[in-house]
Amino acid sequence: MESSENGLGLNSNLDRRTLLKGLGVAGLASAPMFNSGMMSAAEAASQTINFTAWEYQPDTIKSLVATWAKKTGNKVNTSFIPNVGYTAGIQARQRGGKPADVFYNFAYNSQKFVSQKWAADLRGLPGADKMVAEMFPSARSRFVAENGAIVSAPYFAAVHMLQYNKKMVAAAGFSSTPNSLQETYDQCKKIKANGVESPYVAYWVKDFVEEYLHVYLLAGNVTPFDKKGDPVFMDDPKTLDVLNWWQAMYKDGMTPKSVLTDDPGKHTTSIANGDAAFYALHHYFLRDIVESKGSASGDIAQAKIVGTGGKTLQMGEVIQLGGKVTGAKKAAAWDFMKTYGYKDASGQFTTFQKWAASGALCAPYPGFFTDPKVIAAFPKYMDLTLIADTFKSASDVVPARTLPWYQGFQAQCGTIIHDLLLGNSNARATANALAIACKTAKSGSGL
Amino acid sequence: MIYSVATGFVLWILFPIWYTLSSSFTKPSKIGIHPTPFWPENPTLNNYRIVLGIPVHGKNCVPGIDIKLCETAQSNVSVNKIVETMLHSFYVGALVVIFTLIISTIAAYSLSRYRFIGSNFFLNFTILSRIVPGLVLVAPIFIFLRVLNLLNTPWALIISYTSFTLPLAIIILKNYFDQISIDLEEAAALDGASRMQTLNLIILPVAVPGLIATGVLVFLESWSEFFFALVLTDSYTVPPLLAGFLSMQTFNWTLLSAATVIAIIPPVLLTMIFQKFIVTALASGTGK
Repeated sequence: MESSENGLGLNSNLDRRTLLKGLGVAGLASAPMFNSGMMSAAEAASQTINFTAWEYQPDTIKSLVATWAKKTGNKVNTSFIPNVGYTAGIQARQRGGKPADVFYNFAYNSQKFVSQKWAADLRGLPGADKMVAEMFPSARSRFVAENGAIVSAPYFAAVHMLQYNKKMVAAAGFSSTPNSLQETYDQCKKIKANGVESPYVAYWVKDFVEEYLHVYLLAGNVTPFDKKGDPVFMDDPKTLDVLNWWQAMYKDGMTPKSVLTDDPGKHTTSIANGDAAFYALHHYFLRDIVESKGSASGDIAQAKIVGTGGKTLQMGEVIQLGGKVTGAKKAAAWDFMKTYGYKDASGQFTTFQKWAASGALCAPYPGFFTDPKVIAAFPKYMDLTLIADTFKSASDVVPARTLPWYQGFQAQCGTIIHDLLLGNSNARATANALAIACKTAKSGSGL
Repeated sequence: MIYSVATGFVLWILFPIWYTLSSSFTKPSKIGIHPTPFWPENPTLNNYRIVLGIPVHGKNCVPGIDIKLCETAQSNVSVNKIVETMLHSFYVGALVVIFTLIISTIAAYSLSRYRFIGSNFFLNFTILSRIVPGLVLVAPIFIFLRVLNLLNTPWALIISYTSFTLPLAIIILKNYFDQISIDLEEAAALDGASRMQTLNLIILPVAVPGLIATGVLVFLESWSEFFFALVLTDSYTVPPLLAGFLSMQTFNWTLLSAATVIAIIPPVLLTMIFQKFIVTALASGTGK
């Protein structure tokens, strides 16, 4: 097992703060190691890597894999599992004794997989420290556990943004998009009075509403969890304001009644055809809105969730290295993973350039946003500078979201928040229920 | 009254099929609009073209790679695989039907005609085995198939599906054999036929409707099974392929609808052709 090889298990005393502080220095110092990493890959030629991914643009994945295999002389067996059912599929393969060497994973599973030794701690691998050091500081804690373990590399990253209809906002007499949650409500109310029945749409289904909990808490200047994963939002009086605002948005008809079950495709159609003025979701959904060529697609632009106000949620999924890979195969697998989630041997963001072109997906590296090939590839109707700025200074990954117990909390969020929105609960009771759900999940008696 | 209830029931059943069919001809930007039209205003075949891997904007469009050259961003999913995957499903389903019918016919006939120690227990156990969720069985079956090096092969599905469909087939066929008069077998025995000869020459020809119905039901179960195909193979059959059209954040409804319409053609045809046998076989024993 990797952690025992380098003497640093998940329970090591080296905490994240220490590690992150040292990463700047380590990043510079590890440049030669990065080069030696390339040598390791060359030495590890003719390895066969088993790579498992979910089915998002499978042809793009195949072309990326083929490019790396051709360059290094290794072979990659790529398995696709549908995104729906991916966790069950990959865990069954782990438990059944046929684990992948490199695999996509949901960020919320990443620390759990390392603690169960299904995924490797990347500390000590050539270039791993440099990879983390080159990330936005705001992004690092998704990949580095509190104890300093590097649990994953980025598959992609995104920020929650507000897609909005410029004409509708202007027609309602506003010169800018909302700078607070209250302003969001006020603008919606005015736009609704102008004849747009449901001005605000968002992906508030049970399975996804947990992301919005963080989006709105951060927008309301509330810290959701502390570094230990304790729900400090409970003690912040602003939490009740956020929850009250959320409930009012639904109860007062700023959203469609069906918003609790509608999927992103429906929201995209809605805003693209002028039936909604605001759509809060990941930045890359602007691409779907524009490319769906609805009657209002050309009027849609992007802004921060609350403009000059609070932060927003930075999300993304990850790639992990199998916990049982060793020796030359491990070197090759890590080289592949590094190319996929960081840079190729020539220092290019080859993989992310491709994702930028085909899906408007981002990488959590400042260098990604200044890469001329990324700038050329990114859709012109998206404000890359705004997105970069959001990554840099106006977003938070909420580190607790990758903790091993977090999925148990996440699973309960949907019902609790929906109860609030449907008027079956109030803000205080909801905050209490969320705290209890968190405590239950942490104690291991949750899902 | 009965007609209005029947009409309501039929509409209830047909609504999802109509919506799927209508969506398959709808442009992505028009899906989910209000009010929902009975039929899309400007129907398009592009969803079918994309699913079948036919470029929609000239030869430069390569779904999944050169997205900007294609109609929309929908090429996030596996295209050009539906026909191949349906052939896989058909191959798996056909072999599962053959193996299941061979084994279940012998088992059902024995249970119908013989009283042996443990026969009741065996029958009850067969029924009980249908209750165990597949989720519980997937890990041991996975390990078993890994040891045999059969993962990600059609045999992984053929073996596991056969084990699931056997109880259903045994129950249906046992009921069916119970309805066949024993006089025929006694006459055959008087003429010197062995048990196997009686089964092959006398019983099976009479039981053809039951065998066809059982075969169709087994085929349908095999065709629509998702979880084991997900875990034991890399989207070898139709259900995981269709699931690939959805993700937590991306819903390719129009493509999914087109793929679904194509994928349900074989089972629908099969069911329509053999509908009479299915009803007869499932109703057998109800007059007792």
